[in-house]
Amino acid sequence: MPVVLRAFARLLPLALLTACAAQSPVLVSDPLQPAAGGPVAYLVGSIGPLGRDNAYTNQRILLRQRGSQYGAAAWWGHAEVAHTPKDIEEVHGSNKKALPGEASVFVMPLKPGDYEFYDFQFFWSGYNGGYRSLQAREQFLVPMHLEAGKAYYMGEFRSSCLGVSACLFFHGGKQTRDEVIARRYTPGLPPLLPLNLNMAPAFPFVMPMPAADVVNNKEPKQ
Amino acid sequence: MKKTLLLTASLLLGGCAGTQTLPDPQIQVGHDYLPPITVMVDSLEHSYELRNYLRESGVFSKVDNGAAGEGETQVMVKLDAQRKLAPTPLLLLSCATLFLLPLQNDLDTKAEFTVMRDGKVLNRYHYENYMTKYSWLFDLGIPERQENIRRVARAFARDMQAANLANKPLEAKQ
Amino acid sequence: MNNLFKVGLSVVGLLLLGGCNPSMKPLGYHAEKTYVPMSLMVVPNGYSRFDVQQRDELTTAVRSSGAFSFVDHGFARKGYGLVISQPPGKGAGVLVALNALTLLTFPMPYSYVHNLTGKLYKDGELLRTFTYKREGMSVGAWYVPPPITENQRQMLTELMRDLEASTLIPHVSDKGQAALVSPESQVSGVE
Repeated sequence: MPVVLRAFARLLPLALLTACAAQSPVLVSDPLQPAAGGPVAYLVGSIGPLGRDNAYTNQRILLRQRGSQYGAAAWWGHAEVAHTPKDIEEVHGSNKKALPGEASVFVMPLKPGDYEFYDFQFFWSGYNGGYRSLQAREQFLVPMHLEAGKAYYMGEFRSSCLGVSACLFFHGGKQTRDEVIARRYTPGLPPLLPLNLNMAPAFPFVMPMPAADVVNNKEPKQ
Repeated sequence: MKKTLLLTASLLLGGCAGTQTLPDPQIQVGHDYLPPITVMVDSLEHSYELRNYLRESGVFSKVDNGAAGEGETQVMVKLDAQRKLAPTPLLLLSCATLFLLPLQNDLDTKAEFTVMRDGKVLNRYHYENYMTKYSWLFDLGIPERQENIRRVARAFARDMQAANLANKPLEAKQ
Repeated sequence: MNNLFKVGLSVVGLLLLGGCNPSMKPLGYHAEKTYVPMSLMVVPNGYSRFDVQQRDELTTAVRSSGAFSFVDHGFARKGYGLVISQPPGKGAGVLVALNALTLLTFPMPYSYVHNLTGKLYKDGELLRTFTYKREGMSVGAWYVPPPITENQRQMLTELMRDLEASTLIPHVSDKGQAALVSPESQVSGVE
């Protein structure tokens, strides 16, 4: 009995520490995952909150294969147990003393075909164990066609909340910055092609990034 | 004795999967998106749900909400989705078993789609989907109810796609 | 004589209790002509039992006025839309809640302020806001029906009357009305 307890006591910190490792910001359902050695199309981008407002919480953008219920998502989280890598940490805006926003770069391997960006999700956990989520009531449709052997840059999705429930994503383009980080995760990534999506159907949930001075660009952590 | 009882109980409860009278409509893939449609649904619970399923069908380039402008396709949907629940005495009996006794939880959907443009009616489509389901404590039947509405939306999308293809006899498809 | 008295008392008792019906009576407004198809959104949008019940009650009351040819539920950025909300006012306070100690028998008075706002939108732009308010005093006891249902009914009636008087929403023509009413199903698709 004491032997078992000792072994357990030694394994427990290890188990806890492994659970604290950063998780991949990419979720792809089984039918959409490319077969081993088969044709692959990569979708690259970054997602995360722009600042430290109410948008600093578990969030994801949802994609699906056109005409099916099978989907893929890119997510960002900061909880101890479920968090994504802190690839980008920077302050957006002119207030130098503001806490920086963060983002994770995602490289999504998918079976080639037609896809749609159709929804997003925010999750908040309340102090008294409550749980709240936000999703678009009327979904939208941003179509894209992904061909085999190519990598597409989707853009950066940085979220911000105006008040408590009016949360949205600002869509911008930082291809050079994100490409460097993406190649660290997937060394054999083909050259990135900009996808140039028309985000007008996703208005007002996705809006173009407002121009602001990006001050205090910290070194991206691993 | 206990094992056989447990087995028969699990068999009976396992057979509570819902059935729908409308088969899952097959939508052809690989065709271009159809022009945008603007949809108004006359249902308090299922309005945005139906529109989301129309978007999910992958047939329309855009499914808007509201009144269409000039030259745009307007779809008015009269959606009548009624829950048919077990009578109250059976409900109380099931409640006495903590809802382990399955109860009838059907959904009878009748949908009428009217396709209009500039105030003129182009086409009408009528769909019915009756879902039978016995739900109990661990199976409330929510996915089946969603599937019911989804099939009606997909049936309309399939028919709109077929109508659109029928109007283009000379174009060769991939 | 004694029997008659008992019967009379029970009838009066039933009548009193029957007057405690909490559901809303029909609106005092009935429309002559119907509006073009438009969207209607009743706030709050939540999914709790109370929110759903409130929403159903208000929606049914407004639709029973017969003013709408076709109503889509939600907020539309194209076409006409009406958003009905109830900004917070003032209701029964802590003292009335404590009245539960007397099993809500003691007539605990409280003052209330009930608000109702109707916002008319066209293509996502606000055309006009209609605000209504009712304030007064009531009593928090089991034998007194809460005034909010009747106040909502009155404010909704005023809203429908003002909407018609404002002539902001066009009415549907006879031809348009015929198109919305479906004859026997003409086309395929009956499964």
